[in-house]
Amino acid sequence: MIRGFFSTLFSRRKADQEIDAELQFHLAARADELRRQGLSESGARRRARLEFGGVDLIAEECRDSRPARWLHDLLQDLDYAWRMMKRSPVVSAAAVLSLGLGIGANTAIFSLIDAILLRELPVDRPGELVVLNWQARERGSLFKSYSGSIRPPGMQGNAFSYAAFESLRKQEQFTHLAAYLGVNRFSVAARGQTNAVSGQLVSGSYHTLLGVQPALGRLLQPADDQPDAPLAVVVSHRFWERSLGADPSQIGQGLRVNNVAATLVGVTAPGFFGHEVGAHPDVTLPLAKVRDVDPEFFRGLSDPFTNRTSWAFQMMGRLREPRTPAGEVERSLTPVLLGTLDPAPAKPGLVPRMLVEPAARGISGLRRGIDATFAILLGSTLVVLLIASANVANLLLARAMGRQREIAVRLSMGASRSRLWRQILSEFLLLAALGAAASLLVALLVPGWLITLLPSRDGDAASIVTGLDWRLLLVTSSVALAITLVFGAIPAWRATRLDLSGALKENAGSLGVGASTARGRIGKIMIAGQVALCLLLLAGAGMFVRTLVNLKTVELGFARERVVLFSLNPAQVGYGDERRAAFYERIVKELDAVPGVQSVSGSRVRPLTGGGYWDEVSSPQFNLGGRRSLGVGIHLGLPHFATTLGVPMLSGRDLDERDRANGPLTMVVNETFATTAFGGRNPVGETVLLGDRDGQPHQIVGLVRDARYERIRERTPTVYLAAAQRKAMPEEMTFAVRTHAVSSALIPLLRAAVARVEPNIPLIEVRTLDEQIDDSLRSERMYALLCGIFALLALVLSAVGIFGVMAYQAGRRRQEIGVRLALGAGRDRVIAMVLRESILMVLAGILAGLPLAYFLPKLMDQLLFGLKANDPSMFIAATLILLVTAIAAAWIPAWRAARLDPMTALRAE
Amino acid sequence: MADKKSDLLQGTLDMLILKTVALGPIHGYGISLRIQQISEEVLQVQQGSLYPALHRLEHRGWLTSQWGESDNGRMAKFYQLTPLGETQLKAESENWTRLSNAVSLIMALEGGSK
Repeated sequence: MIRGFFSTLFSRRKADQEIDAELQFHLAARADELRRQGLSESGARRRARLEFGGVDLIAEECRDSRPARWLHDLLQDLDYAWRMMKRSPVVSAAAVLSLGLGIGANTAIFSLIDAILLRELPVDRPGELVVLNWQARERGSLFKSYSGSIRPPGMQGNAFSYAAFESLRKQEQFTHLAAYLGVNRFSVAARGQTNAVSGQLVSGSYHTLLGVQPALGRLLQPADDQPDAPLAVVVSHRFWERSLGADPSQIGQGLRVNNVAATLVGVTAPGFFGHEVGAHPDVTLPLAKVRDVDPEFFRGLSDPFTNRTSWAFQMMGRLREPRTPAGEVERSLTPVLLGTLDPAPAKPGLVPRMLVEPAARGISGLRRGIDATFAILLGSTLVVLLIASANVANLLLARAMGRQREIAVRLSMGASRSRLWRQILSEFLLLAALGAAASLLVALLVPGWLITLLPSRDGDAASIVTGLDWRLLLVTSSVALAITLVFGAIPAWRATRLDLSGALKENAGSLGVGASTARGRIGKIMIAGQVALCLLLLAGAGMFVRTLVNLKTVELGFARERVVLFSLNPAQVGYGDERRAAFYERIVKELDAVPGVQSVSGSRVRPLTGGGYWDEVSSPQFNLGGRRSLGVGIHLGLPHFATTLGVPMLSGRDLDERDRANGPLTMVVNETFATTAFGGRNPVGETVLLGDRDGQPHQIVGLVRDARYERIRERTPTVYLAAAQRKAMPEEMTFAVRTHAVSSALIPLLRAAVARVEPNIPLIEVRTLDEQIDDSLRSERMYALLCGIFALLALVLSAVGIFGVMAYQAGRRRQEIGVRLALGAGRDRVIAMVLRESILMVLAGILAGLPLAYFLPKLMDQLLFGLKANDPSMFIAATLILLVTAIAAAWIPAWRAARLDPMTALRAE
Repeated sequence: MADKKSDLLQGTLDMLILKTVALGPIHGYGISLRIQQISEEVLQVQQGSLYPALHRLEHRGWLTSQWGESDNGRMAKFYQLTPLGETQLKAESENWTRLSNAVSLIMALEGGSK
């Protein structure tokens, strides 16, 4: 049957000829017979034909009695569409290209969404995995220390106490339950090199839970997860290739993790990246060894493995019965969690319940807050697609109207409207299918690049895999089909809604004015729609570009040039609280001695990463309208920080070596602080209390200009404190080295200087301050770049659309224009006439788009910077751009119309 | 891909065609002539039914076709019964015999309802 189906399909043309030949034979044989009965040659043939009936009709019925009729029609339609395409290759190529870009932009964004949100983890039976969370109705204290995420509604978190893990893993609902800490940075020394790499501490059941296979050696086992077991390390395939030279003999060798001796026991399978999309821990270590490897993780707590008020362990499990409703599992697990709380929650609203969420697609920090990004990107690409589709609809409309007589003839001969619909739809379908094929190229090349634009720590997002999969193909073909049905329907509907007698009465080539204007109206409405959408994109892109420019040119308040930044985390390699102050001091000294270095300082927070903390400052002298205290951003640093960063001193002095641990407490404040708290009076010499309850007196020794050091977008009252005067030196410090000139030769010198103090500490994220600032503008740059590209695409497509419609209109009006010219109208008047039409059309679109665009800044408020509310400049600019486009796109048709030779135009019929 | 429903008449035509073709390879024109002759001009097959029926039967696998030279020297499409077609013909003629016997029995009753 299948074979018959295809063979009939492919031998169609031959079959048609056969039917014809068969029927012709019948006629000839009958005519022979009639001749024998005495009829004349021509009489016999006529008689035979009369007896026979409609040859074509019978042939059609013969074809109908065979299968695959609809497919045959479709192929015939596509064949016809292909021939129509070939007749005007440039226009068709433009249509395919615009659809390709329109669909491709969508596919690319979808591919990104697919990779981040939709793809399942490359592990064994991911559908059975769940991640455990808890939720309490109210916010309040359930624990003394917490390391994990907490978010509304109420209080919802992902970290548990170790006791909770131990009780939960005994539950029969799980075949496996593993605990782990958040992905962190570790310093790993192997083959003579120390690098900062991302890593993770997991319980011994983690690899078994995920069902991942080793590429080499073995993976972690419960026996490794014991406090007294030797430290075993499993590395990612990526790390083994990049840092271990893909050398199989490395298995069983020693390496140092955070300066602790460890043994490499295995390499995970290629492609395995753990359970977090966008993170890619290179080293995996047993959880029980956290005391040795990362002693600072549970600072200030008694044993985190026994202390029930320290919540830091995240959990993932594999359900024994994956089809059990989550609610049921949650209800049976909640009492287990409650049994581990100590002390019991103070209020009923604080009693937590378990949340069991599917984890087939893993977890991802990238997913937080990315909805808005995706909404903006998908919205823009959808607009581009609509504009491209409208162009193609207009093109087919023009073609269909050119065939109006043919269509009218076919309709009056009894062809069904649905047959004609199908024909026009298949023309669109062919273009859309070719466009979709072209779009796959875009989808293959672009998403990898898009991911590099995403804001993510250390560019970890780059580990996300994109590429073709069935979902992508499904989406692409659905999009192609959807635009065919929606936009193909416009020309199909218009072309088959004919006044038959009117269309037939007209002379070939010159259609009734009614039909022409009606077609023109639809075309123009589509153009106006395109322009309205284009206006949205242009205005949006303009706002993003302006935001980026504003952020780049904003007065930072410090000198961004010639500063190298890098971070050190001595706590990780064994420097306890008491040794770190001396360590930092020695590092500064060594760095200072490097030739080319001007000055050196450090801060707890890396610039422009939005870190830092807040505290309260109070004083009886504050003039705050009733309130006695002021929330301020705290900046904790090493001596000479403001001077090294080049923040201008307005009064007093910078923090320096005099501000020691045992000396009088001091601080430097910024201008906003002085203005807010002291009404602009110079505060140097004043004493204020720092801390919300038992405030400690600090003397203000300096006043500096405002610096947008933590976030570019904000200017906040800020207080600079000497790290040496805090209870403990920060575990990690970001050093800022101001040099005479940054050169690639300098970095090795800085590394060597650090190595002289401690050879086993890696320099984390070495980059210039300039690069750091640029990096902090990643998402702004992404918006500006992508929306700019989309807006440009939309503009070009709209221009093509305007050109097409105007060219069509001018062609339709050849005779009219010929008459005008013959009657003495000037060529410039003809040009003006065509241009006016184009401008009016675009103006209508702009008027339709402006009210929509008005809401843009409100929708995107969070993403914009330095734009005044209702700032009309973007709309004016977009309007001007569109008007210029309208004139430019209509210019060639106008010019051609004006150059018409009236005689040729009039004689054309 | 359900074939169109066969009403009684169409079913009868199919059977007649199969029977005619069973006598030996024959083209469409020949089939219409032969049915006409054998039925002594009672049955006249419309071309408009004959050819679609032939194509339908061929598609069902009851007939095969081959191009060959006809008596008058022209190339014609000759139809032939397949083994499947023979089985079908047998089934249909048995069915027909039963049916026509039954109809005859009823029609042979003496008297009337009046």
